[in-house]
Amino acid sequence: MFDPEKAIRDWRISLQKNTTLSEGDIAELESHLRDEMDRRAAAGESPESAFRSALTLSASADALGAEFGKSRRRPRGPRSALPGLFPAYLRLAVRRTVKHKGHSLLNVLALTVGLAACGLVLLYVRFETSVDTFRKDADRIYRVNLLRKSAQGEDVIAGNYTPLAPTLKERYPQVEAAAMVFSGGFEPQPVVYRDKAFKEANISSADPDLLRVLDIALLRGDPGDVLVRKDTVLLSARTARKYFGPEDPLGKTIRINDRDCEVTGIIADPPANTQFQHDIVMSARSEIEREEFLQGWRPGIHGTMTLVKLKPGVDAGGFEALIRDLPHEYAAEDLKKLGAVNKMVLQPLKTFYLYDATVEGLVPSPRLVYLYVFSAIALLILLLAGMNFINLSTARSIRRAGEVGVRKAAGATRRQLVLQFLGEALVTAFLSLGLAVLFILIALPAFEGLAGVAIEESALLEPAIVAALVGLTVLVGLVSGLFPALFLASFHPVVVLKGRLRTGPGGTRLRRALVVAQFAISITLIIATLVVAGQVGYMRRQPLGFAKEQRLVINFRTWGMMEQNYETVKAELLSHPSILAATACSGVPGKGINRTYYYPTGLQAEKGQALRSLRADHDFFKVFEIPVVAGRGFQKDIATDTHDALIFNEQGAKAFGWATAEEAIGKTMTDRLVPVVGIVKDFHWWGLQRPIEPMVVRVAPGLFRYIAMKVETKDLPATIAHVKSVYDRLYPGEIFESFFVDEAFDRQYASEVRMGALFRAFTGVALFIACLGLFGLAASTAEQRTKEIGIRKTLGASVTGIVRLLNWEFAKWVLAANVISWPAAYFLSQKWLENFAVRMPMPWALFALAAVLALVVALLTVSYQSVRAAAANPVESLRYE
Amino acid sequence: MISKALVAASTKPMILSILVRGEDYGYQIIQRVKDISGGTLEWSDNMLYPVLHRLENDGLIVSRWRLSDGGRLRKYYRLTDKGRAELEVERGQWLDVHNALSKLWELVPARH
Repeated sequence: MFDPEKAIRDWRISLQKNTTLSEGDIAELESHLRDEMDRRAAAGESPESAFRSALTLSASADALGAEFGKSRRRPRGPRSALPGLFPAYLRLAVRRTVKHKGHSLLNVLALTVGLAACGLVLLYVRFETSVDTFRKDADRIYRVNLLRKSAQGEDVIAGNYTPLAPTLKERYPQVEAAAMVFSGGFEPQPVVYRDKAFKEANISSADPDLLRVLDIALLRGDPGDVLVRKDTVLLSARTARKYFGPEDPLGKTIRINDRDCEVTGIIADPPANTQFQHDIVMSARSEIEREEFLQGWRPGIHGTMTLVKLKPGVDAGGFEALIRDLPHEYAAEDLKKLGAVNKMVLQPLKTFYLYDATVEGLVPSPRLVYLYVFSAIALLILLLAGMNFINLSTARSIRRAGEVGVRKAAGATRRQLVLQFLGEALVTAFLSLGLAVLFILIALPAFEGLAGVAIEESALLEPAIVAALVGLTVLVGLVSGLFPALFLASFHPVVVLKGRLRTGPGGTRLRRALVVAQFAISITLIIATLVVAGQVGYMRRQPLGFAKEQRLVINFRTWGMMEQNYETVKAELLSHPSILAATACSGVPGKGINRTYYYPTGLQAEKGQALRSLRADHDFFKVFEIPVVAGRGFQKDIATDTHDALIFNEQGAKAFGWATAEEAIGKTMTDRLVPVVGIVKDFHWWGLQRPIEPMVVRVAPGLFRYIAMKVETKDLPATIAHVKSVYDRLYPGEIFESFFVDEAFDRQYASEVRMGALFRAFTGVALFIACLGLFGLAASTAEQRTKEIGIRKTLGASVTGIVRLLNWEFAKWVLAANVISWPAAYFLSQKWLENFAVRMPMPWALFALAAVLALVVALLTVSYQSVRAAAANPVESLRYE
Repeated sequence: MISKALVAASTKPMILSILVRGEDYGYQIIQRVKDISGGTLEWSDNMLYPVLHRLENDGLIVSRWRLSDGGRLRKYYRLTDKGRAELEVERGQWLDVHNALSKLWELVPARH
């Protein structure tokens, strides 16, 4: 008996075998079949006949499937195997990465470190290049520098005539705003509000236009009453909070460097990436009225800079030509007397930070040079990581040869294989990027300290940084993946599957070349690191010509505070047995002294000189143990020695053309006929980057602001406490500040020390990566030579012999790397050392040391693998075939 | 009997034109085509369903399963806005062909 339900079920099962038909399709067809059967049954056909005729109308399962399949296999977009297959490659790549952990780890680790180094340097570059360039209208803001030419030479200073800003505004319609900014003393000044007293470093005086020029936001206060009146001050929001807390600072009086100032406005906090760290801005008017040297068209001094914002569309070059000769219009007489030519030069705001203005124009500042140096190093490190990748992947290819053979035999095209291997490289690269970002976040605080910049973590999310990092990652992934990919995909399946594959000489040669290159880079960096450290050490060890240790200094707030009583202060201090000597002076080595103009009497035009000028009392040379080579030191019992006697250093005597020190004695200077009474031995005032300059010393109590003491080291805290108690008693209400000369002096090497630290860090990273590569390479070499080692051992080779054999294999390439790195390192060191007046002799020992260091590290790295391979039981290794 | 090529070409406008009147399922569509053509067009299910699925993939129609009055599960198809627009395009093209042929055969042109 025909059962229609069973017939339909059988038909359905036959359809289900066809994979292109879904359950839904079948259900739809079944419903169709039943409708047709119903119609036929209604027309009087038997169920069996109805079923059969309904079925003949429709086609067989296969035909159906083919038709349905067609409707489904219509890809959207262009026809390509890539989109559909890409996820598969990715999956494969991820699986491989996970499966071969050791190999992946070496690759990922190296790339992570490389990308992290690049990321950190990218952030550093971003910060350094953003300094002040972020300002609105930065393109239109300039500083007016002063180019000075005279018989003494020429220079460019950032300071300019104080009336320049108002003059520019008045006379030139091209000027939108112009402001004079005077950054006052270099020392922090005391700021007091009620019970709150701090020393503040970021104090300046400025014209009202400052806010307009630099586009600084006035958060509170009347815009019309900003820096206009005498003795008014603007505070940054953070400074206002510091002194006033919740109080309203507007209209309050705050005492800045002994002057009462009314707070008339609150300005936005300066960001980290600006050179204008103005926390306290005073009205320039009071400053100009009080200080005679700031009045009128007197030659500019450092510190009074003029900033100008030109109107949109004004040609800066044309404007510069207009104002170039202003000094000769306003200060003609002075210039004539000096026989000098002064010219105005514009320097764009965007170049303030990374360029220095010189007579030859703008030159890259050390900051910019460091920027280049560290960018180059970061790229080198990434290059190392990329080389590592190529190295390890090709070395590993033997193991994968079988896989490649099978895939090729199964019909994989070369293109597909290349894509697969590239996919793997990209997965590794992006995995590394993820880790690198983590690493960056962890290392950022340390790096900030090292590089001396303030970088916010959120900077990592900036589109430019993200794009650069992703771009670098893709680039590294593709470039370093491409060679192994092509290499692997080129295997001939028959050769591979028969097990006859040897890595061709090409592959081996490439890997050797890569190891040599990696070590060449590493050794160069090691030498650079050693040279930087060596030079800093050398400078520190050099005799400076004065005694620097155990010299304690009291820093007075300003000049003249001890004009009358410095002898009393000294006597009080010396009452302590640990204080052996004391001197009052205008500066101590390493701390600013300015220049003063001197000339031998009657020879102003021919021999006038601007010399470093120190004012110190009779005991200065005693305290710093500087020997007098001719004449005598200052003497207390000779009244004219105070004010009216000069002592030069040897350079000073030479500068005026006296052949010997003795010849200088008794000569008189200036029209006031001040006699030269002595010549002291040359000593270094500045760090050894600079040569010893001609110097003059005079006793001028009005300009003393330090007391330097020679102290004994025993019980230093008690000595300092004594000094402080004397100071507090004599200068109540003043803030006591002291330092040691050696510490302050060594701070001059901060930038070299910082560079040394960065070099050390980067060199460590580079060497680490090179070792990772070597480690992987040694592993695969040992693996390939298992059989050879087995045979050698059965023939009687010793373990040490084999280890030596394997190690030599690598050692010779590391040694070869020196051939490349030594000349490169020599050239670079030479260039860098040119920055110093005192250079260490070319340190060939350091070169050898670097070579030995690299060799030792390399041998330690490969020895693990060598020993393992050599110690293996030869039976095991020989049996495996 | 209409040639296979012409049947294939006309399936899409035919289905769209049927569905523009309202929801319908496959079997019913075949019946309607048969009725309207006076039996000259007889579609098979293996031709119709793939076309329906393709039109659905292209977003011209949408489907849903519904229990019919007789308790049978049927897949109903309905026109989308995109399908409606596509029908207009098809209509224009077919009328162009029709008008051209009509003129050639000197028949009264159909209203556009």
